[in-house]
Amino acid sequence: MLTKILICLLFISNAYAEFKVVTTTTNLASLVKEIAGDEIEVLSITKGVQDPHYLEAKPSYMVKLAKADLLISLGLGLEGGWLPLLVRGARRPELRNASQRHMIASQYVNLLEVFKDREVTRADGDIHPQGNPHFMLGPKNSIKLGEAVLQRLSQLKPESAKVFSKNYVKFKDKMQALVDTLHEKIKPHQKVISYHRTLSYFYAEFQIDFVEVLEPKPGIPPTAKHIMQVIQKIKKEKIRHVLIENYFDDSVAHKIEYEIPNLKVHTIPVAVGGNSKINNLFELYKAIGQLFYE
Amino acid sequence: MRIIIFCLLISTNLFAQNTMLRSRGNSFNPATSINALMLMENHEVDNDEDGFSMQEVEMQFTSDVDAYFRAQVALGIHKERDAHHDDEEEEEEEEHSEHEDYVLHVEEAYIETINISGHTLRAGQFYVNFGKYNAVHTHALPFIYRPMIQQAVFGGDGLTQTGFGYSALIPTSWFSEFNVQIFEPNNETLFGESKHAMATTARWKNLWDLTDNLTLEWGVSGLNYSPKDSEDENSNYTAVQGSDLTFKWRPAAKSIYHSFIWSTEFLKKYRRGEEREQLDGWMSFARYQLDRRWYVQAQYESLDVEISDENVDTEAYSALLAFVSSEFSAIRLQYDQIDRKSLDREQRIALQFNISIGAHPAHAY
Repeated sequence: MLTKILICLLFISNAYAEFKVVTTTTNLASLVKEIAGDEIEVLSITKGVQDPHYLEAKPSYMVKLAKADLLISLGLGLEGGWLPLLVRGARRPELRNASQRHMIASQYVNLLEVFKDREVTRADGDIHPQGNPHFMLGPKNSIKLGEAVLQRLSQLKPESAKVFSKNYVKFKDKMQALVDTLHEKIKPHQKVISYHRTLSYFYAEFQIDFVEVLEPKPGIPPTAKHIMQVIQKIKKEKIRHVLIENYFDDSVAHKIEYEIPNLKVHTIPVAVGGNSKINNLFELYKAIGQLFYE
Repeated sequence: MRIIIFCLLISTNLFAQNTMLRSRGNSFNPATSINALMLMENHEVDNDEDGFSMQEVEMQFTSDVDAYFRAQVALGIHKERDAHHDDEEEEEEEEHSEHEDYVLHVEEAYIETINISGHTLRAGQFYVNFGKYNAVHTHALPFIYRPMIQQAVFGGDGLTQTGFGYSALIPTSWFSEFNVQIFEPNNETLFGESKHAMATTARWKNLWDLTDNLTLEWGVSGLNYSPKDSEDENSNYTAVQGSDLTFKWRPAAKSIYHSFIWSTEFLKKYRRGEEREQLDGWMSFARYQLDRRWYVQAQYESLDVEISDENVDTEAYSALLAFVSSEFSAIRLQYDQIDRKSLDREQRIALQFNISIGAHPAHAY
């Protein structure tokens, strides 16, 4: 009996042998896959169609975290409602805070919408005072973060460092080429409205004017009064595009479209896996950028 | 007493600074949250509880103690519940009870290890990890009131005791957690007085992802309190068994708008000693999320109590409508029909305002 138990334990410990990276979002997972190639196993806690603000701390994620060699999260409080519970449940002390085994991505990128001038309260809605956490939607940030991921993976798995380095250069060149193409094709200063401030980084990078959001405040569903103001603004400023992140209900946007026939409402994925055609960051950025091609 | 409560409220406000301030240098202060439950209830038959009242104010403090432990303290202020008083005490209370009496109650005050991989050790006072709902704080309960079977087995405040606990994940491909706790048996609803005897509980909880959108959770729990002389038919002895089953559905796409839960818990208690009691019962509820902020719920409860050869069966039906304006506030309207088979049938309606301030709430799945 004891022998059988020992054999089982050996099999269980073997299951831990492969290097595993767990990320909180599919955009982070896609970046890691570009750099790691087939050298490591990468999985994301949220799916591309899920809003990462409101995930439930499903215990099955604890099992995944218990086996992770590296956790990469976005930070800035985005995962605050569920990640601490998952880490506690996984019983992995080294993942509790930023550490060699827990990389908090927001520490390595340029942040927008940081509240420096005034203090915020809950009355401001579901706000992230230290910066907008959707920085993975800025292609430049993905290149910058990619470099930090390369360094971390190379430290933790030095035997694959050369492969990681080669993959990163390939990723960086391909991403830079895409960014150049998008700059060429996107006419600057097009005005746009979104449901939430998810695409701030993409808009800023390609000089798209982010005029208004359908939420009156972050995390607060649209109200009739606010929508009326938005409709007036669309008419006054001749806004052509409304982009709705596909984890939100787009019915409000279509009601606005009914009022203003020239308006184009696009329901779009904002994460890899957000629909069946978006399998990596390149496809994601291209799909968003194409909406603004001249 | 009122002065103490007032001072505590003021002091917690000092901690409840906004996140900007915390990030600028107060990060060693405990994360603090206060939850207040205001209740309006109306019973079919006149009842002292009718009208508006503060159901509970709960203050929670959480922080790392040092490199080895994290601590959690939860203090509850609520109306004094009916307990066993002798006549003298009751007379004294009547003299002083011009106002409703509120008591400050330590719900939890414990430390837990944070530096041991794969294992968690806990010490202090805590909600005993028995079944799915005993360890749930009042503001996070699925309905306004603690389930009838929970109240019958553990008392109105749930089972919170002082002792030690150990828990770990069992290395399986699904979520499987084992938890054992040993504690001083002070709960009057559950234990008789016996010196130098500890009570023990064990819980085994499992969760399977049936699909990306659907999970099945199943747990079994057992509690045993058997002092040395427990073989004697008149001595103190308590045993509780429980099992719970929960299905949760939440679609991955547009997940914030719709969800469904169906949860059932069965509990059985046997107690002998100063009081002899045998009871069993179960509750089952379903909750459907209609829209981003609206929920409807229905619950059935059954309780079968046998005290001194007398049998009392009770059934209860509840319906609830909730408007959850944000993660920090909600309004819930509940209707109950309680049918005590041998006695009477009663209807009750309750409206609850639930607010949380301070640290971001993180509720277990």
